[in-house]
Amino acid sequence: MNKVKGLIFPTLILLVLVVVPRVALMLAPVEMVSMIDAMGLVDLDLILNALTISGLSMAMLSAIKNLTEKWTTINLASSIGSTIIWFILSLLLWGAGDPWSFGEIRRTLNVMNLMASLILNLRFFVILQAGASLLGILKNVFVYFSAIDRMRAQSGASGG
Amino acid sequence: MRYWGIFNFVQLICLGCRRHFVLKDRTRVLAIISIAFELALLASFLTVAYGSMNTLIATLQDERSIEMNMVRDPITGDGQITLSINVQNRGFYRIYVGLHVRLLTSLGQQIAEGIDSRYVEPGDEGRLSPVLALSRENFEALDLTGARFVVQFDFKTFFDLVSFRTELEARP
Repeated sequence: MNKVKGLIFPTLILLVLVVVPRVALMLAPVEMVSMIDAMGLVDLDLILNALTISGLSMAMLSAIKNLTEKWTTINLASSIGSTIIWFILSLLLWGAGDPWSFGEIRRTLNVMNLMASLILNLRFFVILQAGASLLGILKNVFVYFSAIDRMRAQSGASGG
Repeated sequence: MRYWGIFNFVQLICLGCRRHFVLKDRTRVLAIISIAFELALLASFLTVAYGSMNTLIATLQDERSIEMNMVRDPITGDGQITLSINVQNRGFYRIYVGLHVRLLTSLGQQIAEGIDSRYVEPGDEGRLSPVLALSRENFEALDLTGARFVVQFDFKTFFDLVSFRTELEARP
């Protein structure tokens, strides 16, 4: 349990995922934002809302994780939840707003008398991200069991 | 008997430590692999994004990046339309570029098509020149103001794991 971490990490997560994207969008040139909106390449509102929701939930889970002991189930659950939310968020970003495209972005544009279709395949990064997330979950489980072992050893030593 | 008791005690502590360290080591190894995965993801994405953008900018800035040439055989009357794109690979990985050009009539009927593709090594440049061969009848009947060009451009990088395909169709 670390109260300092329990305050610093959630604040950082809120800053990075909630505050910075909104400020960046406000500072971005209006023409650029309206052009992206008009072309329909990326749904900026959807991405901003997803960032806000995941930022808030990840900050909450981070606070829970850092304010509870490592051997508690709630600590393990918050760690795993945080990893899953991060993975879903990355799916959303790799899919440019569509998490279920799994990194394959398909768009069709009609500009004047020019029709353009784009297919961007970023599935490799999604697979790598999935691997990293699975390893992260596995690591959290190991940390949990390791903490339980340590706690039992400590209580055994103090009891005996 | 006394030594046996000490031995048992030490063995018990060693077993406990071993179990503890095995779990701790596994956690550490997993943490390192997990971080390595994240770093690999970040490094590969950054190098791919930077390299692709550099390649795109260098290709578009090249004076002779896109050329179109139309020739006609004076004897047979057959014609050839050649579209050339000079691709400069300014990235870190070998790239695959492919160009598929189709020429359609205003009604959507295909008159000719040309395909060209190649791999370009980093720092190198490659020219894609698909040739559209037209028979004399088609060449004479060709009305370029009503014709439609459909250009499909393929781009693969990072050991062909990351790809981009765009199809452009100019309608009259």
